[in-house]
Amino acid sequence: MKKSVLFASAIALLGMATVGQAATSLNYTMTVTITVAPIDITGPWADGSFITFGGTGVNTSVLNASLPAPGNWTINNIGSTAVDLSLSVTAPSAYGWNYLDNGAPATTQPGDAQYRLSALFTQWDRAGIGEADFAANDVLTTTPTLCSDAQFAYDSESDINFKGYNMPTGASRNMFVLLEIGTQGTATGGTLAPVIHIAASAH
Amino acid sequence: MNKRTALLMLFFFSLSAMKGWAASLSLNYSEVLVENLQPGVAYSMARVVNLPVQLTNKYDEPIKIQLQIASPDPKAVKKGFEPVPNVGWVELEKNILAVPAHQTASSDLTITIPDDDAYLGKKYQVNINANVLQNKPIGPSYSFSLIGRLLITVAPGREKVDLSSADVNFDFVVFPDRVDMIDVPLGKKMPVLTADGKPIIVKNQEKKKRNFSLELVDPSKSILSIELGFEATPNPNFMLLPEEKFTLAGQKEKLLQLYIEIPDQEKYFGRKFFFVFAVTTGSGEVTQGKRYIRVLVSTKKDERKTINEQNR
Repeated sequence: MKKSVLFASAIALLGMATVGQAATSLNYTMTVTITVAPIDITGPWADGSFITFGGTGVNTSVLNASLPAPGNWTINNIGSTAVDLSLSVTAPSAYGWNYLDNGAPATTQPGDAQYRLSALFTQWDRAGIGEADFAANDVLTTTPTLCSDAQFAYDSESDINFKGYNMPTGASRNMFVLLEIGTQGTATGGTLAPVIHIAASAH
Repeated sequence: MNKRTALLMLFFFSLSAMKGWAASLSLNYSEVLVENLQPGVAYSMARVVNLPVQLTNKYDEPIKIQLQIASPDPKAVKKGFEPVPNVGWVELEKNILAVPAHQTASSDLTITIPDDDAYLGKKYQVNINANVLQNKPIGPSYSFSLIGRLLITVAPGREKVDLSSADVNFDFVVFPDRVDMIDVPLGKKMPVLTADGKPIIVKNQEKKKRNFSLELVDPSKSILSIELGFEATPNPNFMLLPEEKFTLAGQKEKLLQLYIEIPDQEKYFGRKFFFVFAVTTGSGEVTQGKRYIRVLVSTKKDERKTINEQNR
């Protein structure tokens, strides 16, 4: 190949590279897509103390039928997109009381100066909900955990319409809570305010 | 001492201190996909595309919201994405929002991928948590949060970016953002209308004119999750978009003429199909904004089969 042809080819290649670079930067596009409509949820919210630990000690379990209802235990999906629910708890330690985030409800009792909260979703009018209906995977922890067929669910319930995930638009879900408190031990009486967080995200 | 005996002891609830109600909240960042980001560039979502995080309080009481950027639960990460290595890549302008009753409050959000080629081509998810806070120091016993997903893709290669000419403005709405069509007959071209007979409307809320385009999205190939009881349409082209591009003058709206036509085949009777289309603005420019709209179609059952069964 002659020198002049080589030179011309090199110029042409250089030109292509320059054009290519310019075209790339000119064509830069950042795309933002709102893939899901806004989540739109109505949920329970309550100001005030939740649990007052008695002065001389307690050792009991209580279902939410006995707990002070915050006015609405129901979560409603009033938006136009399906949502998944997840649960967690902010459980303070005070007056010597500590939160227990493991064990099986009704089987592994909280020890001295311990308390534990569990929750499950099921039909609001299900009769005879008891401690035995709560399993180890219904215990609330400080880490938000997604609901599933078994997680925070009435396990023998086969209808997904009563579970806490893939909750369609217009649907409601109802939550039952179990509170278990161990013996007082060295703890004292006082008011603790653990916060149960119900979080909704687009399915 | 057994539990039942102990129940009679000094255990009580402070019922009088409790005031409860239901809060109602809406978050615009339920799932937002931001594509083709360049490392080392700070993208302010409010400035670049006019899309700050917005929370709307639909209740009669004012509420306070705590906004947090959080790493997602690994079990809840979108397929193809990974948790963001450092939540500090996403910064909020405000961490606390006081939202008066029936009003909306907002915070800018800035995404900065570190200036390192190692991140090119990666896909990350980060969550935006909006937690309802108490009005009283003692705290609520129940609270709820909304969790938004921010999905980020980093550009595959280095390019020069000049965001000063970005012109996308999310000041356009498409309503309703979802249509449910029930008992749709097969073999007929059916207009996409709401239950009360209204079409989908695109409204340009800006003062200046803006170009829009429509495109079909294949839900089976997208990041979208399918609603309970539905399946991705076997063919996105069962939805017909007669007009794919249009321009809207400032503060004008357009009724979209969309149709569904599903072939009259036995396999399509009594099915529930999930369709999606996108409304895009800013095509071919530095920034481009899209909104996905869902159309959920339940087809008619096979009446011929039902009649035959009844005649037997």
